[in-house]
Amino acid sequence: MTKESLRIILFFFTIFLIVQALSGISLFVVKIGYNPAHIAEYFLGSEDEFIKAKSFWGLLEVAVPHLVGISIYILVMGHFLFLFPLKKGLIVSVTYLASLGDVLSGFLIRYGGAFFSPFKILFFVLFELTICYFIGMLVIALFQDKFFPDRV
Amino acid sequence: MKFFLSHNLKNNSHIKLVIPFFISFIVLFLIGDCLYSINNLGLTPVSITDYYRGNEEKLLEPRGIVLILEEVHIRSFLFGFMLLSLSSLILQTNISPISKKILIITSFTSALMDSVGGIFIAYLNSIFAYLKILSLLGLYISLTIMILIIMAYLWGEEEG
Repeated sequence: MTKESLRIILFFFTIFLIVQALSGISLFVVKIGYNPAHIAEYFLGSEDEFIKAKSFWGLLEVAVPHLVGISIYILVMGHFLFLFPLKKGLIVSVTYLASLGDVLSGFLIRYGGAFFSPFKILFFVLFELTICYFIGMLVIALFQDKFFPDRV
Repeated sequence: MKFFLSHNLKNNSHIKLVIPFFISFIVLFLIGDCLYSINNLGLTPVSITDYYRGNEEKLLEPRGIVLILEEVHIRSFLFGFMLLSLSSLILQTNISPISKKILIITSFTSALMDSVGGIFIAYLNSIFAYLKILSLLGLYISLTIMILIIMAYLWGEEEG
């Protein structure tokens, strides 16, 4: 029963991660854009499109909750990955760098210029790929009994 | 989850100190979210439909896709991690296995329906407003029961 309950928890947690990732990707495309020009316009503003440049405080308002959320995510992800017989250092490091780059690249574009727009896409895609990898590992774990302890 | 998968949850003074702090934030969140839902959504099918689809007579704008996606993004994150922690704690308690299962499934399903309910109401059919009400009630009730069970287990009489 414990194994079954743990499996149910993990199943639902995986679904939440999928919903979270899908909503994140959709938000990025709908709100910010999908090419460097759109992204530069979003952060730097555009007179033609009547878009205001993002203020420092506006950027901070988005960055702060993401920093908290991502730190919890990495903690939990690292924690789950410990149960797998693979090299965790690389995936955790890539997740950390990609997520940090994703959060900070908004500031880089706003104060460093449109040159940094492709980096925003690169970091975001890399971060989402690490999330997909983590989701994949959780799905594999769902079908493996050894992942779950016999008793809690 | 492994942080909470301890055999000595009840006898671990450190964990017994940490969990009330964690639970207190969940209780505050529960009260805040409940007040927010009552104030913004109204908790009636008509008011919820108006909130997501707008209402010309009441001069209410429909909720845009960005705002709805932001709601899904934030709530799916919060509920996913919060319920992961609470469910792991519920597994340690002495309630029957079937009760644990019912609580875990009810809370996760309600939270999931609540998180994505806005999209269904805005883009599919206003009938999903009933699902939103059910999911919110299911979430609040299951969270309250989970919190009470965990607290009762931690401070209840020692068995045998």
